[in-house]
Amino acid sequence: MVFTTYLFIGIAFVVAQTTFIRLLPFSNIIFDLMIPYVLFLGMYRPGGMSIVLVMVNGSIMDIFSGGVFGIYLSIYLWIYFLTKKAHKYVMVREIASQSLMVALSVFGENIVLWFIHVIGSKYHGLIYQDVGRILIMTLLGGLLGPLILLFLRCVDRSMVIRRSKLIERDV
Amino acid sequence: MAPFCDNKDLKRHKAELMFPQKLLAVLSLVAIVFANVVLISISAKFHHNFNPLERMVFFCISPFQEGVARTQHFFRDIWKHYFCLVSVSEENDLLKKRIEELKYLNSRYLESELANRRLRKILNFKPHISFPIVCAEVIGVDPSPWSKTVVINKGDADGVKKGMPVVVPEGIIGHVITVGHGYAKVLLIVDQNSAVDALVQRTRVRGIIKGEGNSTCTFRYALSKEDILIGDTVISSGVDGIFPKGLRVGSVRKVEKDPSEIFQTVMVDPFVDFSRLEEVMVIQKESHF
Repeated sequence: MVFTTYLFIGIAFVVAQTTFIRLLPFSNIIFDLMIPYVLFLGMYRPGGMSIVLVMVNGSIMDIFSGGVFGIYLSIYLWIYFLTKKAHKYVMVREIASQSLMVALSVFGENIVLWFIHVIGSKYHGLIYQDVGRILIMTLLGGLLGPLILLFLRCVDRSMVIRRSKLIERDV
Repeated sequence: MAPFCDNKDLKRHKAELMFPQKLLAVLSLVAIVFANVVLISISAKFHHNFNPLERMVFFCISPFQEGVARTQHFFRDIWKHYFCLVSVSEENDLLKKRIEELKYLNSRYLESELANRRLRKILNFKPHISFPIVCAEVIGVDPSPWSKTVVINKGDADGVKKGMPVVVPEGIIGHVITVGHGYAKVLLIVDQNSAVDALVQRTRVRGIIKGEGNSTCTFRYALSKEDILIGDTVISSGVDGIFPKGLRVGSVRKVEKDPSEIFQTVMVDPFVDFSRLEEVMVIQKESHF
């Protein structure tokens, strides 16, 4: 049940990103919504289930993206493992830390994708624009990322409450 | 040195002396990063086709995309048909004027077409090969802002195959790169991995139209001595084996000639507005590659 819910949330993010969000006029500066999702799995969900979710959703992103296959999968796995490690050094459940982590992850992801983009491009005149775009995406990630984390946290809490009610009823 | 409890501790201590734990961790991390880069490089080198599992994922998720796209179109149509009536009257007048202009243009084109047919007959040209066309709807776009692909709602069940060109009346859009049962992924000409053999319509200068990953393309490998001007129309040459000859690609926006360079830098604006793609046509011409 929990796995299916999170799987559908991940797919909903992918569908949103491949339909109406990319058709918005400012879609070029919207950060990857899967990043808060991956961070959430790294922060709040147990290892076994969340790693499968990260891998499945990373692969789906790769299937729908026109880039090199495996790039999103790799980026998400790295973000996931770094989040797990960050538990030791940062108070990951504080909003400021979460904002910073989303911003850093968005920045890291876009640097990797930008690097691949620049390798294949001859006309380098747009680099300044790209830098601006990455910085705006990072900023947006830092500002809006915690809200997505909050939404996922609410979903998580409601599931816990529902499960405890079911257990009480059974008892 | 602290006394060791047993043989096991002694062995571990010796191992730690040979490979300190931090060094081991760093080496493992370097090895993992290296393996990751190698795997991605291999993946990039061999552009894969959909395997059954990926086809299944595509099959399961694309209906959701289609549903969202249809809902979006539904609301947009409501907006267009009911809320924008204020501007309709004004638009109607403009359209009437436009129809008159188009009637005049149409008669001119008809005349040109007849003249063209006569001339072709005279020169004993082969008749223009026409291919069947499949109309499709764009139901999804690339989730990444760094690459440019779209998902259409026609696949191998409708006769769409890998390598088929995709166009709209304004010009070339791209070509099919992966095909599922009822869905296909199209690589747009503005993607950096896309290349179209093209020529400048006015001077017949040949080159390659390469996507730049944003909304523009570059016309590459045109010698500096060649005559290319801003506003020139670029069309497909038909040599690449994917796009039929004569399809409109875009117009030249910028020309830069550097005396020290063999080739000139030519920027081309595609005729197609890729941010507003809705219905497209797949030309059922099988690729030679």
